[in-house]
Amino acid sequence: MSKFEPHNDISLLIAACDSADENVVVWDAPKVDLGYFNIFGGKKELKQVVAGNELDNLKYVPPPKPLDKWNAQGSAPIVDGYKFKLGNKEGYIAYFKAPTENWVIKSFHKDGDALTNKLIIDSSKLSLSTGGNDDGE
Amino acid sequence: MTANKGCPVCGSSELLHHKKDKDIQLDFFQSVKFSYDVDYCSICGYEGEANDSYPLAFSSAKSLSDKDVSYHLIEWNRAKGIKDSYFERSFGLPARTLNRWRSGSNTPSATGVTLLKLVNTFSWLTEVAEYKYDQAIAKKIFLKNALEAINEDRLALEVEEASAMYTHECGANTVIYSYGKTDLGNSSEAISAGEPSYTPKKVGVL
Repeated sequence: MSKFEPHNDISLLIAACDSADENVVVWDAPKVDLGYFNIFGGKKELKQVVAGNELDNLKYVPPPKPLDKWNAQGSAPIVDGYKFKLGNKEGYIAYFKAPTENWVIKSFHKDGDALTNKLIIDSSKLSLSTGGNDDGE
Repeated sequence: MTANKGCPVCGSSELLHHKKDKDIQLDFFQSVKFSYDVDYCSICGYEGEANDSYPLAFSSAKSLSDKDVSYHLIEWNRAKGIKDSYFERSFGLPARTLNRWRSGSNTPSATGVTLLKLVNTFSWLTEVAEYKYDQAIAKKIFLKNALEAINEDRLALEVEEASAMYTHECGANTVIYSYGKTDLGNSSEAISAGEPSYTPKKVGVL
């Protein structure tokens, strides 16, 4: 697994959100702030937004990172994060594929520019600096 | 909490079902409070919507909130001097409809609430509608109001700058003098001398 490439490309998540055969769940945590993007219909509406390719200017935020505080059996799922633009607002989405084969959107919130921009610049320079997207935790 | 099974993340059977409260600030005018069903996994920590209760609970709570906010918006518009009859002539929204929204006997439509919010934010939109959205007139109305807003901000800033520049203790009151921007050449000397070297304009008493 490359340090600068997604473990699961976001196109897979977009396809899953658009598919009736795949299950996508949204982790209801402080890092999911749908209201900021005027999404008030819960996970159903969020899936429609993702499936509808409404997330523009997608930029991968490296590196892929194991989910923190994983107490369940097996190895921790790998979390990928992307910056995006939705309407006039910039945001950050993090997701992973769970051992149950369900897709899980773990974060969806206003972008914290400082960290994500640094990580993108670091990756473009192929730097070896250690960092992390803000959702491997 | 009631026991459920099948965590969608880790697959554990330690999934609990409970209600969660949500308070969403929709905008400057409106917030919506409701509760919905969630599943919680005590093994991996996952928490998420248990069913489709979220959108239903939200729309129900928003409907109630729309009634409440429309009452306040109509009252604020009236306080700004926008009469219901004027509103009706400008926007074609019957005064009796406004009254029904205000009394709560009818739930306002989403577009109705949006219109009230827009007019409350930019009351000059009523004037634009009054002139049948004529683009040239609309531009003039917009520019006139923009200039007024800029002048108000500039005046407030000047008063703030002047009061910071010189405050003169006068008995129990603090008298604020303004010298105007062009008269401030020797302001530091005037302050160090403790007295203004030119005639100030009194702008307020605290």
